[in-house]
Amino acid sequence: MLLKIVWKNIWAKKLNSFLCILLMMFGISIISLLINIGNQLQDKFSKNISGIDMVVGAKGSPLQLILSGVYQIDAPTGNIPMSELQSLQMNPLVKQVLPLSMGDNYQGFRIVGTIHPYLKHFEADYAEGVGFKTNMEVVIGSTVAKKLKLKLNDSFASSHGLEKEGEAHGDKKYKVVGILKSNNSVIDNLILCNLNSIWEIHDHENAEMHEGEVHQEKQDITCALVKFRSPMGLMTIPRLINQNTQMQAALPAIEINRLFELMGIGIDAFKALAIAIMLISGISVFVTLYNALKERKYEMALMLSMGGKRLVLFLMLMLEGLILSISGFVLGIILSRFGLWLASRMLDQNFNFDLQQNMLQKEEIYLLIAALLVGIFAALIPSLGIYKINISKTLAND
Amino acid sequence: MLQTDTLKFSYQNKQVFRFPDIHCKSEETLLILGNSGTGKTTFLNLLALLLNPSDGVLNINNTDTARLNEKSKTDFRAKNVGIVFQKPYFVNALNVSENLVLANYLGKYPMDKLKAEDLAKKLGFDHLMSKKVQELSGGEQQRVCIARALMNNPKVILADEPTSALDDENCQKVADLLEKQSKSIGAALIIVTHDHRLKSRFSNQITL
Repeated sequence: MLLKIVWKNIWAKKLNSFLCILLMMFGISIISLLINIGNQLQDKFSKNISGIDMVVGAKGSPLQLILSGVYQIDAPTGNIPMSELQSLQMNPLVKQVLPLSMGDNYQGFRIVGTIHPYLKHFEADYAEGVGFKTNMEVVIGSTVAKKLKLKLNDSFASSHGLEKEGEAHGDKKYKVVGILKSNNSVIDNLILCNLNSIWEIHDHENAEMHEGEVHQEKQDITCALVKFRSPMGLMTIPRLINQNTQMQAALPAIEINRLFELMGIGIDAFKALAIAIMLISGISVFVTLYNALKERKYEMALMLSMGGKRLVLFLMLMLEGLILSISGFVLGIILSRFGLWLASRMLDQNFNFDLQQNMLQKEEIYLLIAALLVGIFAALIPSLGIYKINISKTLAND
Repeated sequence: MLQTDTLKFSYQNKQVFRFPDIHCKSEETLLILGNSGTGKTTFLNLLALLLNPSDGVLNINNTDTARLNEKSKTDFRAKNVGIVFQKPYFVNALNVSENLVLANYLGKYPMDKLKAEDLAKKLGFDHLMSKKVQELSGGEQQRVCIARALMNNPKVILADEPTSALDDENCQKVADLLEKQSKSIGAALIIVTHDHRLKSRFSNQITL
């Protein structure tokens, strides 16, 4: 019966209740969206970074080098000759060098020439088929297979550049020999082959179509991921490379931290805004209940005179505030999941990068507690008014 | 059913009211008359256990109400006293029928919809049961209030100026209804009023 009264009271003040819920909803959804995207970006970024101590490539922006080399999202800085890597590989402090050669794509997915240890580095596992052995054989990531509906033994021609609309290398076709299981890292979105495949295609092109151009150094790569044997490498080698060679060395850990710091300012501003919205929602609940109690003083006194307990009526008013903030929370989470879906679709189209629809995050539980606290505090003062009602005076108001 | 003995009440400003002793048996009606400022409503609030007397004895249904603490007083009132307030107060979020059974609910009785319908029929508003209370006319609201006071079969029914806002015809009707319904559940009826039209109707009177 009391629940019915609570419900009908909320319903009777549709606009007020709607405003409270709306404000709470926006506050919650913005924060939740930031938490989700932030967590997933950080997760993805740090997963792909793990184990890679340094990236070497052509001179340019170190952040760009990291984004293109490790995450495959930005354009590469340029090419470096394979021979430059030889001396690096000889260095006793270096554990492993993973060369990458890019420049072509198929339907927007990058074709990366590399060596098998690159797959091992990401702990790639084959869903079907085997690794590439000879030229023009490719292994494709799970997202690539799903999106392009490629199967084993399918073949396709690549196009030049990193955008879909590059000029096609029509005469040479790649053949799919392996499909990887999804492992939530960057290789899900890649088409992998050996280095020779890339060189072969471009040699051919150069010879046939661009005869006027000077024939370039034959074996160029785009960049290389480097792992060190000891932290000593981290101290000395990057400086050596930057000072003594045509190459640039960038440290992923430092660049990504810098990126997050830059993003962090924006995220903090959004969070502050969202918290302000939530507080306004709290104030709105407060005003709604406060006015409601003033109007409903008589019916509260009536219910008290008919045997209602003050504690029960107090809880009834509190419940009204809580229902408003909880429904705001629930709707906010739903809205944030919808926003996540939209963001994921957008990122997917532009960067082949998608976001997962997660269950409630740990931070969202805190958010629920915060929403409850806002509801409780907003409802507390008006609800306490119940204890101040003088039944006989209120009802004998003549 | 209800007796008082040298009941006194004083507000903080030391204005002291002394009330005459009254005695009202089951199925009897007592009219308490008095002009404004003579403490009519204060007296009614004392009888309704909404105010505590500073001195004197109030017995309802053979219970010395001074012995009840605040909590049991609330329950005692819900079960034994039906009040018809001067103004028709309702819980506006609920409809007529729900406002009636609310009396059961707050008095910790099972909610008796049949009784509500039965009373509505007797008081002539059974066609309004699913309406919002604000949509009723003043006279209809008054009758709903009377029905609500009867819902828990109280031992005493207290009515505060039940007829002051009504015309002559309705005044007689309401007085009839109150008397008849109180009798039917065996309750004592006490009406506090300054309405002279009721003077001739009830013989059992006290003037403050």
